[in-house]
Amino acid sequence: MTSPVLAIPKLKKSNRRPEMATQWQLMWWKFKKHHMALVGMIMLSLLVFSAVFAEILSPEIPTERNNKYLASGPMGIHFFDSEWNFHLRPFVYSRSTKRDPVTLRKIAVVDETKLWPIEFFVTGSPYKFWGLVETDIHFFGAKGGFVHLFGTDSLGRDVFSRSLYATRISLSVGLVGVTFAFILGAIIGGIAGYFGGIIDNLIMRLIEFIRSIPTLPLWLALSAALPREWSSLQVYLAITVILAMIGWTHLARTVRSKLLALREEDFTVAARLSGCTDMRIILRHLLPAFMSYMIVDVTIAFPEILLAETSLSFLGLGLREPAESWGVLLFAAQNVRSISHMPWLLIPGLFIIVAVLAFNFVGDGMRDAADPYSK
Amino acid sequence: MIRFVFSRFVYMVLTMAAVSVIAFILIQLPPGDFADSYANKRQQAGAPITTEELDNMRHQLGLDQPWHIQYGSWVSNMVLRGDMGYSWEWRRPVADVIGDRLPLTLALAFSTLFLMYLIAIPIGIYSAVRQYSATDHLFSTAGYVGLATPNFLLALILMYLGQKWFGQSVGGLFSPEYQDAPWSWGRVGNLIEHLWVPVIVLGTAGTAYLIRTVRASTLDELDKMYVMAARAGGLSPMRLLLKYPVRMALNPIVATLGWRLTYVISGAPIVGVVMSLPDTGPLFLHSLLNQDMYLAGGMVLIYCAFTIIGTFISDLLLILIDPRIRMQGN
Amino acid sequence: MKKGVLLEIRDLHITLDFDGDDIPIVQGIDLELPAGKVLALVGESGCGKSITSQALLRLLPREVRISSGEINFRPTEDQSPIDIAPLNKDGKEIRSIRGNQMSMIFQEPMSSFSPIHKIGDQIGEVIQLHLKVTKAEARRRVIDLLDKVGIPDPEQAVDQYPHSFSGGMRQRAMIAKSLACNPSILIADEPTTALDVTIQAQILEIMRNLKDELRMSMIFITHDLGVVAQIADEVAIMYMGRIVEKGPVSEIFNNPQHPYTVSLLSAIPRLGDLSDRRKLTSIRGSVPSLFERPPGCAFHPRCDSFIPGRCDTQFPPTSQLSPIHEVHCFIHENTEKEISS
Repeated sequence: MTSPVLAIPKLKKSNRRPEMATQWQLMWWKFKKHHMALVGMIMLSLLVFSAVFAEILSPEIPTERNNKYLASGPMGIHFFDSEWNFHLRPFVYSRSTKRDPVTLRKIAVVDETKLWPIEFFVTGSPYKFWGLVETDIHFFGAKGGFVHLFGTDSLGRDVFSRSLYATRISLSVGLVGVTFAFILGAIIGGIAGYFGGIIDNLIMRLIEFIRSIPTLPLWLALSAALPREWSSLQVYLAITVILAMIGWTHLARTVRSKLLALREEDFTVAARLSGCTDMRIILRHLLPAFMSYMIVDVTIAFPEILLAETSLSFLGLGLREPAESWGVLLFAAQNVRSISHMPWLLIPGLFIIVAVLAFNFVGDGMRDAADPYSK
Repeated sequence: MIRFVFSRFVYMVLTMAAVSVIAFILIQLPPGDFADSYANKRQQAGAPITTEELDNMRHQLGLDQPWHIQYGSWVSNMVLRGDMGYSWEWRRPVADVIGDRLPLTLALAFSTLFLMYLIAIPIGIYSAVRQYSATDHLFSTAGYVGLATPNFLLALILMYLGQKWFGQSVGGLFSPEYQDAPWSWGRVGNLIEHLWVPVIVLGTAGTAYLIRTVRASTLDELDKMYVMAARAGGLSPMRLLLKYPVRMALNPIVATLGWRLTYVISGAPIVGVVMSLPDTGPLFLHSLLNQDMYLAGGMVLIYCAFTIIGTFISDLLLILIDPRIRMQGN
Repeated sequence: MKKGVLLEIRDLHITLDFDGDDIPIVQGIDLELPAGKVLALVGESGCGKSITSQALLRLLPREVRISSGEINFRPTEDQSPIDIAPLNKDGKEIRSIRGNQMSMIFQEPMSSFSPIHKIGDQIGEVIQLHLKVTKAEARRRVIDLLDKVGIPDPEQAVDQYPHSFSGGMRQRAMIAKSLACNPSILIADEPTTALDVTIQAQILEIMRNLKDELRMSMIFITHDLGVVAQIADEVAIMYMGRIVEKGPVSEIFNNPQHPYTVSLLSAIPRLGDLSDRRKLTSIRGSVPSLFERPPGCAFHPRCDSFIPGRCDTQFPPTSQLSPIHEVHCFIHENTEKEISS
């Protein structure tokens, strides 16, 4: 519709000079208007932060087993004790071990008479930060005892620490997968858009074909075919490559269609007429024009890959222990019996939801911002 | 129009052929062949097979032939005799094993698809017409969460809640008394009673996505010039909405019906596994884990076949509702 | 309401709700449409002329609203006028006017018809809605109308879909649709802008003939003064939501008084002027955005007769140059005094 209203640039402050702004400035203004996208940005930053500093933030190392607290639930952090006295330093109640009279298994019970205060930057189990720096400093811990924010699994491992480590692996799988998908999509889409004709047609048919077959069963079958004796690093790489095959089609389409459209745009013709070299046209004019669309597609592809990795690992066909990803952690919660006894094993699932939500929010904001001249 | 139908049909057949090649490659992918794994099992059972017997067996099964011959006989057996190979694990023909469980997968997939559209279309249209209203915000927030929750996680959560609140397992598709009973009206009723949980699990993300699509395409249409032109003719808002934008917005929705089906079929195995449904899901996973490759390949083929046929049907539906496509080639 | 006037706009203000801020788009315009005449509303894109025309039928986009003013309308001279401005946006009253007593043609013939409904059904729908006739009668009437607007083989065309029509044909069909119920006023929003020049001439020809034949009045929105010369009786020139000059077409063309009108007219080539070697001039600068509306007379930054301290502080009042010619410009303040004294 060409009602004149739409011709009005949607910018609020009159001191903004839309006609003087660069494309990136326009995009940022538009992105900022998307409150959910900003929320998503913050959620993502938190996730990335905890992935980067996973070792420091977690009170325990993920393989550590706490025999005094097997398969037990989250420990609440308190400021008020049972007599309603306020403690400036938060604490957890201590736990003591008893034997269940019926099953004779060891169980942990809350002991409200003793408090374990939470302290920051405490020494704990030694680890190598990023496999490089050896240290034993943990961001927090309980003095005199232990703290399991999300409880422990059946082996007594801290679910909170494991979730943080898994965040690192899951996000990196997504990142590597998206990078592969990006490269694959850019090359294939570029070829289609650059050569056009029969090659373009074939590639488009291929994409249409891939999109019309149910992907998950296919990826399941592919990862099932990976040799069992492979190391976890090999499996990790193979899985990311398999996942990249999910994400590339969108990117390839975007690259192709933008390339085709931009080639005919007036500004490209104008640049060519004013004597720009092809390289300069591509770098100065075309790349910025569709970079924004590529970024949008990447933010959309990311959660897709994240979800696929989680599903594969959850079914036992993706990453496997000792590697930890959100899917691997949820693998332990696969049957009704374990969830009804240990519902806290589902907590890593919240990380997935938060991550995908964040990416979707940001992706929506980006999609609007990518076209700063649109309504 | 006939040309359009014909070209879509040819495309469908070609896609099927391509999928069958992929399925065959999947069958061949794991190291070793059927004879090897047979020899292995015999070895474990303490009755090793001789090399001669093994070669004999390979020859009989055609495993010593080059792969394109093997592929040819696999496909021709399938097309001509409905023979999809033999499942090692089940010791039965693949076609029989799949045939037992396929109806349930289809019942699940199609009821999910049906409910998805039934719920998503009115909500999507309502959200578009009342853009930025509280209801719109509510649905889009719910939609975001629905999209972000992997369906197996949703299944786990529902199962946990079912256990906690009703003290019973919400997995499975039948009550114990109907588990192995022959088909009867009672059993169908029992199935429907159990079906809703997996339908919710399988359909939530898709419904969320569909609501967004319907909302976006309705909004798109509401802004079109012809809507204002029709308004200028004096139509009442409701009649206008239903006759023009909604009708137009249905086009892309019908056009992507095939993809939606693909999506549902894609998610079905994992939901089947998590909720231990007696459908093809667990069958497929176990065939993959045990490298029962003829069964796995057959499953991949069947899953793909349904979505390809679904896409073809949605193409045909599109012809019915969009005169522009109908006119092509006339 | 004056005698012989069918539509009268009084001090109409239209605002755009922009993230909670009210941005004025149309700022107090007054217009009159005499029966049987063609009033052209002229201005550059974004001056508010399309929005004004949409306001007449209450077709404004959701974020735009009439903030004050009157739109008095009567289908014939002997009926009592009703004010359209306060009516319910999609209520019964306005719906019985739309397409019936007042109808509208839009700029883009390619998108003014739904692509998935037959042309005949889309026109017949209006007829059935307002005239309470049977489907068969409506169909016969559609065929008549299509014939009247010059569509060949109307018996066949009635069952065709819009995509088999060319742009010119669709605009003809659009005219047929707008005439379906014999409206007393036709609003044409740049009906020829999107068409080729030859087709443009044909469409104008048809509109002029049908206007006379059906004794309609017409409001014609355009930015093309050439088109104005061909079809209009009265002209109103708009700049940034205000009418700066209005009068009969011959008066405006031969004796333009507002600097904006003068520069608009000197920007169109005329065949006869070739001998003078008169230079075609363009207007300095460009229309500012709605957010940067200059104070006072919005045209002053581009005006050659700009009076500092005057034009940039307040909008000039009406100067009645003659009973039929009025202008808003400070350079004519004294002129009016001379006339009135």
